[in-house]
Amino acid sequence: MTAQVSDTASRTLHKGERSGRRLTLTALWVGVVVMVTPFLWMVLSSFKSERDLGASPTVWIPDEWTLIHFRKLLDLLDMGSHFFNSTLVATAVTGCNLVFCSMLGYALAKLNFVGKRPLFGLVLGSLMVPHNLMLMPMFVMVSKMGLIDSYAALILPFAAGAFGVFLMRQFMSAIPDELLEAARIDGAGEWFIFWRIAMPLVKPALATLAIFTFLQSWNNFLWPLVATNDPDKYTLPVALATFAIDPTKTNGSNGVLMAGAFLVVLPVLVVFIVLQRYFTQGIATAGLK
Amino acid sequence: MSTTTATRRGVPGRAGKVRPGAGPGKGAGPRRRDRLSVQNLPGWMFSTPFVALFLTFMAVPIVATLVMSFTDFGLTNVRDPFSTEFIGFENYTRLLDDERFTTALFNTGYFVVLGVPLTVGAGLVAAVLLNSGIGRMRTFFRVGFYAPVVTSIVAVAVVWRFVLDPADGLISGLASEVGLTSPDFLGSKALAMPSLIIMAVWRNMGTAMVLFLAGLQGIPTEVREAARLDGASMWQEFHRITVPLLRPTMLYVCVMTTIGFLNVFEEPFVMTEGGPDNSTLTVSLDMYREGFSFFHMGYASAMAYVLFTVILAITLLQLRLLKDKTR
Amino acid sequence: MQAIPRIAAATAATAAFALLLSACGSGGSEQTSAKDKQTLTVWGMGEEGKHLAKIGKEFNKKHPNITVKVTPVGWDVVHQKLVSAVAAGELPDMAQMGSTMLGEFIELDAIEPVDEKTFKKDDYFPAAWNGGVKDGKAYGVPWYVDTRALYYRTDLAKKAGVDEPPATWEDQRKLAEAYKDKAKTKWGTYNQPANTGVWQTWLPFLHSAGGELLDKSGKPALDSPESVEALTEYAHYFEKGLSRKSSPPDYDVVKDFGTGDAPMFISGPWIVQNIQDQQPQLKGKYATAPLPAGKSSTSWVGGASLVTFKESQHKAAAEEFTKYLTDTKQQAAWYEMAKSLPAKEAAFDEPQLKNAPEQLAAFEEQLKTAKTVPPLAKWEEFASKMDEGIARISQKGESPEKAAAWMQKATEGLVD
Repeated sequence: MTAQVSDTASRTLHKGERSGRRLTLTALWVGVVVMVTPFLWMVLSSFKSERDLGASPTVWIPDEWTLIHFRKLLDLLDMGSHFFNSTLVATAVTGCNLVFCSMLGYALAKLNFVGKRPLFGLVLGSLMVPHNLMLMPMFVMVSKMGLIDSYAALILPFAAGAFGVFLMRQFMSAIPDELLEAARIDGAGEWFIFWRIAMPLVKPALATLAIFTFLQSWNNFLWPLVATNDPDKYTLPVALATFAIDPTKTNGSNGVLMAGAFLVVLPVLVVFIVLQRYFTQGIATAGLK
Repeated sequence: MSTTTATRRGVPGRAGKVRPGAGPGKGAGPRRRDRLSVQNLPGWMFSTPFVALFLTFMAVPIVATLVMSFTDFGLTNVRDPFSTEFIGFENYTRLLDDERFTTALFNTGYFVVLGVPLTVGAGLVAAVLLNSGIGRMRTFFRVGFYAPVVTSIVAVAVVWRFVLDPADGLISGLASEVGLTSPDFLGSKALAMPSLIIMAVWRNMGTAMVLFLAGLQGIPTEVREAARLDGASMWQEFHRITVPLLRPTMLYVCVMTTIGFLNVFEEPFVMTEGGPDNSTLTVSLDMYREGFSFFHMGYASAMAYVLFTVILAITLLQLRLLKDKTR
Repeated sequence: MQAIPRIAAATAATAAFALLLSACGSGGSEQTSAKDKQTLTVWGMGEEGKHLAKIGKEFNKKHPNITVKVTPVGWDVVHQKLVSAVAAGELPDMAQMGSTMLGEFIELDAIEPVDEKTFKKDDYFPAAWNGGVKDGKAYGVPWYVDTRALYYRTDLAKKAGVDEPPATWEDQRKLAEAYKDKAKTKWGTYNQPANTGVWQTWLPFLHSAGGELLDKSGKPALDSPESVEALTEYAHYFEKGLSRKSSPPDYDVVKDFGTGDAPMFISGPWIVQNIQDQQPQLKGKYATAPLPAGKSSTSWVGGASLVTFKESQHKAAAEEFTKYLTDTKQQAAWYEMAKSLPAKEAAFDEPQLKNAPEQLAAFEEQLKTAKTVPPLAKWEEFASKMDEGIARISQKGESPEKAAAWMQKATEGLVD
């Protein structure tokens, strides 16, 4: 009786597992179609002719593929230099965040020091301040520092985000204390422990932080808009909004808009695809075993 | 459960939950107390870059905005700030009677109460499914689910308007196939907000998914394998192993999503501009209009700090609730 | 968490606000003569900024000592950028400024009055010039103008048995009904029902009813009988199902004009170019006409003016550049470049405008009688209240009388 039950149980388990996997795949396929459709739309639209764009009923696959919107964009703006600006700023901001946020995150999670609690309160608190409104005072300040039109103005205010500190603290606190204690007993310095032991263990979190920070910095619009007057220092979104998206002139012509949106998104997508291998099961846990 | 009260005290969140097999720390107490005195220097050294940048670039604007919320700072004060008058709590008391603002508060609450659980839930489900060994397709799915996050808001707006268009949109097209007519989603007071919520879930679940995926890496494979050998079903594995071990991540995702959703601005800004008839007007949107369109800076700053207080209260509540459960 | 205000306050409180306050210096005292070597900084809007940079180079050939540096700024964001610049004392020497923004920056005391001996009021369309006049002083030199007129599908009108453009409100109603009943179009016309900028479509109705935004004493006159009449006329199209009652914020009427779903609408001159680009098949199938008349056929004037900021140290050079831009020949050349209508009446006699698409004639006609939008410091807010009032009619079905009274009450505090 018992044997029988466990036997059928294991058989249904097997069957269940296979049908479970099929169910999983089906669910994922349905999900991915829903998720990706607008993205595909954006890509397809950027290759559509004006006629297809304005067509009713809506045309999905372009009748004729055209590069005219991309040419127009190249014509309207100096892609190279805006692309360079955006890349420089986003890379610098991401690099700074990875180091600075991890440092504080590690300290908040694993070290005991006077002022730790208020510091964490400060981090959490600054996450919650609605940032839009701070733009004006921040601009006045940065201009008094003489930083308008400089890369520093675009990088420094975002070089250590509270968001990243909180993220790194959460993941750092998941590192077992014994590991760090062992290193301390072996006489390792705090910096060595942080850099050589803690950091490798939180690689998935670092990849996540890198993706988020890069995305955020790359798409940052309002601040670079206000903080730069020199078109040579415009980042890509600012340049696009300035030169390519003129509401009175291109109203209704979504081709250039979509081509611009597509080009803006491309680098972020590449960064995501490159970094997402850190999410592969096993890399992180290897160090813990 | 190796972390002890020293690190836990007052610092919300969950620590050291990765290895459930580790057992209680062995005599960790005294050692911890030693560390207290030893680590002031490294602690502050590690904190310096953030603190320096924060004090230089964030503290001043934050305080300036706070001060402004007690003044009648308006357009002319931009050039002549000395004529600004302190009016105490008048901005705040006026907010209580401001019908638009109370509507905006209600709408924001509506958005958060429905949107956050849906986003976190969807992100968790996607992450768990993606992590359940589906082979080579994983990368493809991962990129696909993250695509909405990287898609620019202008493109999102164009596509979603097309999807929701009552005349020749995607949904109305599908509906007419089966003989139904589609409602005017964004034009209807009752449906505009739910439409925006669905859109926000779609747009933000990729972020939650990525965080959960990173969190799932913290769960050692042996634990899972052991559970499977013991004959645990997929649901049991999820319920008994994944969920508890994911608590630090869960806390983070919930807090961040809630903060993000309470600040909701872009969705109504590009889709409805707060309409129809203010049914999608959110606090951030109202604040933006008061502050930058009408230049009632003092008033808008007061709104910002009311919103800040609400966020603070909700976050503290979340930290408390989620922390207690982990005990 | 109490630590946040404590730490921040201790370190920064006093210093912060002092810094913000000290930010706003006076400046602009030392002037450079127009003959000296100098760089003139100019902010232009979007694509026009790009064209302006080209003109700046041409100007530099004639005035080798003045280098013009143009910063193009997007339309959506220019307000934010200008206000921030005022706060920080980072303004350029001069800028192109949208007509509805002038009032705000005059109020901010940021703009230098125009030398009315150099720039003569009579050369410009009166409504455009007056849009920059506050308390008898002119602050902006009109650069280009736009106004509103009627677009309608002639082919569908013929199908509906109508050959003439609608001359009166009565005619317009009939044409809308004929479109819908006889030509079987989806709607009869398009009156923007709600969202930002509804006022732009409604204001022609108010002016044509003989109404004004402000009365003689400068107080809002939105509950006048004329205003109620204009609202009633506007609402008529919603009540009878002749115009859609809701539309998405960035609704593009050109598309529906192309399909015939919305065979008639009121808009500005740039639509001519948009139709040519996006709906080329409409060539010969549509026309423009002066606004159908209530008491009269009266539109309003928008566009952009050139302003010089008070803080500038290159006011003489700025005047030279402004002169160059508003020269009659240059105005006509500007039309070729940017397809914007010249603010100077004389420029319409230049060959470039003589050869312009025939659809622009209605706008030229309309410009001669169009009324000014007064330069109000709180125009944005004023306009948003009009938007909300009209939305009350189209969304809530409120009566025109009630909506007019609401608008009046909401705007009363916004005008000094």
